[in-house]
Parts: sequence; C-alpha cells; structure tokens
Amino acid sequence: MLEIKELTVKFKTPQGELKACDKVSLKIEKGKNLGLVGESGCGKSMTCLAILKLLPAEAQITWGKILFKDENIFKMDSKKLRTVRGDKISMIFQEPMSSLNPVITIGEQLTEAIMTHKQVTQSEAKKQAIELLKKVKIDKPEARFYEYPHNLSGGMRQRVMIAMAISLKPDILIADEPTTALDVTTQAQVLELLDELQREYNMSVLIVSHDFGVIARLADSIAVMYAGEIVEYASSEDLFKNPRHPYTKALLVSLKQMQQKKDNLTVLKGAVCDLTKLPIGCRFKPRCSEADAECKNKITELVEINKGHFVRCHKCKK
Amino acid sequence: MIKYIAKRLLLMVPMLLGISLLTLLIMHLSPGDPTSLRYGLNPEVSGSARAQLKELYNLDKPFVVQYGCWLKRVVTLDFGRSFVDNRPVIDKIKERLPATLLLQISALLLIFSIAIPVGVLSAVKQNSFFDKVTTFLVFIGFATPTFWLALMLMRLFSFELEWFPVSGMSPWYAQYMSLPQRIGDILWHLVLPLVTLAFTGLASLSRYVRYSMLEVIRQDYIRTARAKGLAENRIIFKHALKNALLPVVTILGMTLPALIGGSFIFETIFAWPGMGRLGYMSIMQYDYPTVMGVGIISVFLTLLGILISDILYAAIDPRIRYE
Ligand SMILES: Nc1ncnc2c1ncn2[C@@H]1O[C@H](COP(=O)(O)OP(=O)(O)O)[C@@H](O)[C@H]1O
Ligand SMILES: [Mg+2]
Repeated sequence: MLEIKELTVKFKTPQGELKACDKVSLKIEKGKNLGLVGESGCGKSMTCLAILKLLPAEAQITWGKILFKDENIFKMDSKKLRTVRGDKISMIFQEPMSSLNPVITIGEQLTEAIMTHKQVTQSEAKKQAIELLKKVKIDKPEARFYEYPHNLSGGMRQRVMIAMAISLKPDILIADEPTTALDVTTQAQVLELLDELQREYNMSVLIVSHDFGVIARLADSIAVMYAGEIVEYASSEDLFKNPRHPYTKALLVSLKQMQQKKDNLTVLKGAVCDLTKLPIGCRFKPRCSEADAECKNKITELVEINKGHFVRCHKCKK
Repeated sequence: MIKYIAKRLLLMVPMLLGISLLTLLIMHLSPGDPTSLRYGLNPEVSGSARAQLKELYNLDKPFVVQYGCWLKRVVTLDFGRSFVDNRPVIDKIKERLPATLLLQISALLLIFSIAIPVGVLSAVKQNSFFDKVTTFLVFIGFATPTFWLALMLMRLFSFELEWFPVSGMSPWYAQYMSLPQRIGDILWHLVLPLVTLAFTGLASLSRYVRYSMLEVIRQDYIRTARAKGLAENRIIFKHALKNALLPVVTILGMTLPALIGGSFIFETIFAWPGMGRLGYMSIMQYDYPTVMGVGIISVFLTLLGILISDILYAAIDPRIRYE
C-alpha cells in the first residue's frame, strides 16, 4: 500500500552535506505493522516526515519516491496532499507536550481535523470527538473537550494525539517514538491502546522507536536503521530468532540485559558515525566486534540472505 | 478571567504609590529649593507664587505629611492651579487629552492593522520579493528620525503639493463649520502627524510580528496541524497567528509609554493641541503644577495601556487565564 523507494534526504550544514536518509526503501502492507528501530539521530524521524512531506524546510529530498496506492506523494499538488494527510495517513509525534496547540481547546483541535475531511455539522463533529476521547480512554471526555492542552498530563496529551490521528480511520498511522517522552507505566498503556486500535480499525502502523521492546510489542516486520541506512529487514519472528547484522545483535543483547535488570550492561561502545563524513565501507565498522580489514573499503549492499530477510553486511552469507 | 483582572488591578496600587512617591521625590531632588528656583529664574511672576508653591506642596511640613497630601491630590486629580493662567490644571489637561488620545489611538490602530498582515506575510513568504522589499523599508523606517520625517512631509505635502495643512488640528474658522465638516477637517489635519507617528512604529512592529511568526511556524504544533491536512490559511491564521500575537501584545504595553513620552516633542512639531504640547509649554514656562499634573496623567495612561495589554494577553493565552 505504501512503498518508500530509495528515499534520500540531505541537509546542508556548516560541516558539509549531511545525509539523514540514504536510499531508504520500505514497504507497508495493508493491516500489517512495520517497526523501524535504531539509535537516535539515525534518520528515523526524517523517514517518517518524508512520507507526509512534512520535512523541515532545510531538508532536501535528493532522490527516491514514496508511492501511496501507486501515486507518488512527492508529485502530488498541495490540495491532493491535504486529502492524504490526516485522512489516509496520519501521524503522532514524540513530544506530546509541544505537539498540541497551547491556545486552542482539545475539542476544537479534534473537531477541526474531522471537519476538514468530512462534511459534518459542528455538533456531529463534537459527538464524534467525544466518542474518540472515550475510545482513547480519557476520563470525563465531555469536560476535557473544552480544556486546553496545559491541563493534561503528557500521557493524556499523547492519547489526544492518538484520538486525533485515528479520527478519520486512516489506512496508515505513523507513530514516531510515541512513548519515548512518557514514563514507563504510561508507555505500556499507550502501546496497548495502539495495539487495540490497530486491530479494531485494521490500519497499518509504522511504529518507530530506539527501543526494541516497544517495537516488539506491535510490529509484524522490522527494519533496523543505522546512520541513515537500513541495515537489516525481516519479519519480527525472523529478526528476533535469527538476527544477522552485528548491530541488530548488539541491540537485542542490550534489550535482554535490560529486561533481566543486569547491572553491568555491555552497551554499544562509541557513537553513530558523523553523517557528514560517511565512510565508503560499512558505517558500523568502528563499533563492530566482528569487523575485519575488508569492512573498511568494501561497499555493502542490502542482500536477501533468506526469503524476506535482508542484511547489509558482507560477512553475512546465505 | 475576572479574578485575573482583579489581581492585575490590585497589583497596580503599589505601582501607583511608588510612582507618586517618585514624582514627589524628583521635584525635591531638582537643584535647589523649587520655590527659589522658580522665583529666581522667572522674576516676572509675583512673589506670591513662591508662597503658593509652598502651600501647594506643603514644602514647610515634614516629608511624610507632604507625601500624604500629595497622594490625596493625586487620587482626587487635584493638581492645583496653573501659574500661567491661574486655571485648575485638571481642566487644562481635560481640554487637551482628547486630541492626544485621538492621535495616539489612531496611530496605534494604524500601526497594528498594517504591521500584523505585513509581518505575517513576510514570515510566510520568507525571502520572497515582498519580504525583501519590506525588510528594506523597515531599515529605512528605523533609520529615519521622526522630526526629520515630519519636516520633510510638511514640506512636500503642505508647502509644495498643498494637499494637507501644515500643522494644528482645528483652525479658528472651524467653529463656523457644520459637525460633519468639522470632523472631516480634523481628520484632514490628522493625516500628516498620523503618518509620521505610524511610520517608525510600523517598522519595528512589523519586524517583530515577522520574527514571532517565524518562531511559531517552526513549532511542533504547526507540524501537527499540517499533518492533519488543514488548509494553509487555517494553519497560518488560526494556529500560528494566535500564538505569534502573544509577544506582540506585550509590545503593545511597552509601546504606549514610548508614544506618550514622544508626544511631548511630536505634538510640538505639528502644533497638535494635545497634552504633550501642554506639558512641553509648561516646562518652558516653569508652570510647576501643570508639569506635575501632565506627568501623573501620563503615568495613569501608561498603566492603563499595560492593563489592557495584560487583559488581551490573558484573552489569547489560556495558560495565563487559569493561573
Ligand atoms: N533541521 C535539521 N538541520 C540539520 N540536520 C538535521 C535537521 N534535522 C535533523 N537533522 C539531522 O538528521 C539526522 C537524522 O535525524 P532524525 O531523523 O531526527 O533522527 P532520529 O529520528 O532517528 O533520532 C540527525 O543526525 C540530525 O542531526
Ligand atoms: Mg526522532
């Protein structure tokens, strides 16, 4: 239903050209959830924003296309694009605190979304909005309707964002780190809510996180991103059972250690490489425990090593 | 909201107390004894003025008593009689206030009704031709001294083109006109001072709106509005502008004192019969009671302006309202 093909996003920075996404290709199928995981700064948000053409003004899409129902989103005029945004594809963001307009009531922010895409009266829209607030488990929805965002906690605001995002029963919901800014209990509740809604509406969720635990909860298939590239892509089952890329393995090890509450975590050493000075060879090499001399200069392609299991590492053979 | 306004009003009481104390102190701090100063510098005025001044401000009593009496006068708006024509100061101010308010309020309205659309447009179309032209004009606006602009406009539009009167507000023959004619005549006199006054204010405010708007457009909630598929107009005028106006409203409160302060010189250039010109003349004539009266009324107006901007702020921003 949605196909991202070789998406390349660049920024011009004082240090030089920064490649935030480098030929990222992903596919989202109807009713299936895709997880996108990777350390912060690896280009996850830029990938998401590109889908709705919401990239910051400084960003340049230098290559690639995004097909939604076989139509290139980048080629749509602004009117056509608006019919996709919010209605067919909607999005929730990492920061619930700043994602709602502070000077407009919750109710109005909800009803305007509905009324933009549907021919309904004000009172009908209000009824639907209150219904939605109930659906995302906000208490006293009738009263909340008239309140402003600052009266709500972070978790509640994220629920309002979710209510807004599902208000038009979209085909795809993009959730960019929806729980990162929330405390642990709220995180679990919000994830459960997303899971419930996904099944009820039969939508596809693109769930993005730096945390494998969050992804595991929802995703049918998972893409692992590193320094602007997809380094591994497989079904969830495959990926958890048989991770191949050293980066994926390292992430899974640290997840396991977190779950077992070990004190001495063998966390990944070092930081993501500088996106303005990308090496020719493998971008993960400096941090990789399995790297050898060949990794440095050999261009690594994303290779299908098993059916539906892609890895970008020349040491992983079929 | 009512609670908020009440709180604001209460907060003004200590402010007024402080300001009245300050004005009295300033009079005391002026070099020498105010009575001898007046007496010494202006020998034409009879010696009784000295006694009058002493009595007016109770200068022979302890300071606390002086302040108490002064406060009572400030509250009852009784500033004594003018040394120049012996009329009650408050009557003289009452005559002049409408002209000042007419000029200031119409200038404010003009500034805001032009600066906001201009600022919004140049922010939304950042780096466009329109934005560049306004940026250029803004720099000219900043760099132009008001008095110079006033004289140039007078020269071009009054002397050479003869489109507008040179100065004044209502000539002697206005009393023979019908009411609509008189209003038209006043508006006709208003054009040049208004344009001059608005010009500089326009430059800074439109820049401010542009800056504030650019800041807001980058915010997450604007991205959310876009992600919902809202039309661009709604995003700009509903979601962005409301937020961008918050700092602008604060500016409104700060512009007012500047406008009132500037009116001393400004009204004199245009011979505009307002309170500023009265104040200026009184200073020149050592008319102590009138100077003090004009000062206090200016302070009242400033505080009123700040109160209005506070209320506007609360009307836009719910976070303030429910504090
Ligand atoms: N406005 C911007 N200007 C320059 N670089 C940016 C900008 N926004 C993001 N980037 C860079 O793009 C890269 C990818 O960012 P992002 O997609 O937000 O990462 P993630 O969501 O995975 O944490 C980062 O390295 C970041 O520094
Ligand atoms: Mg991100």
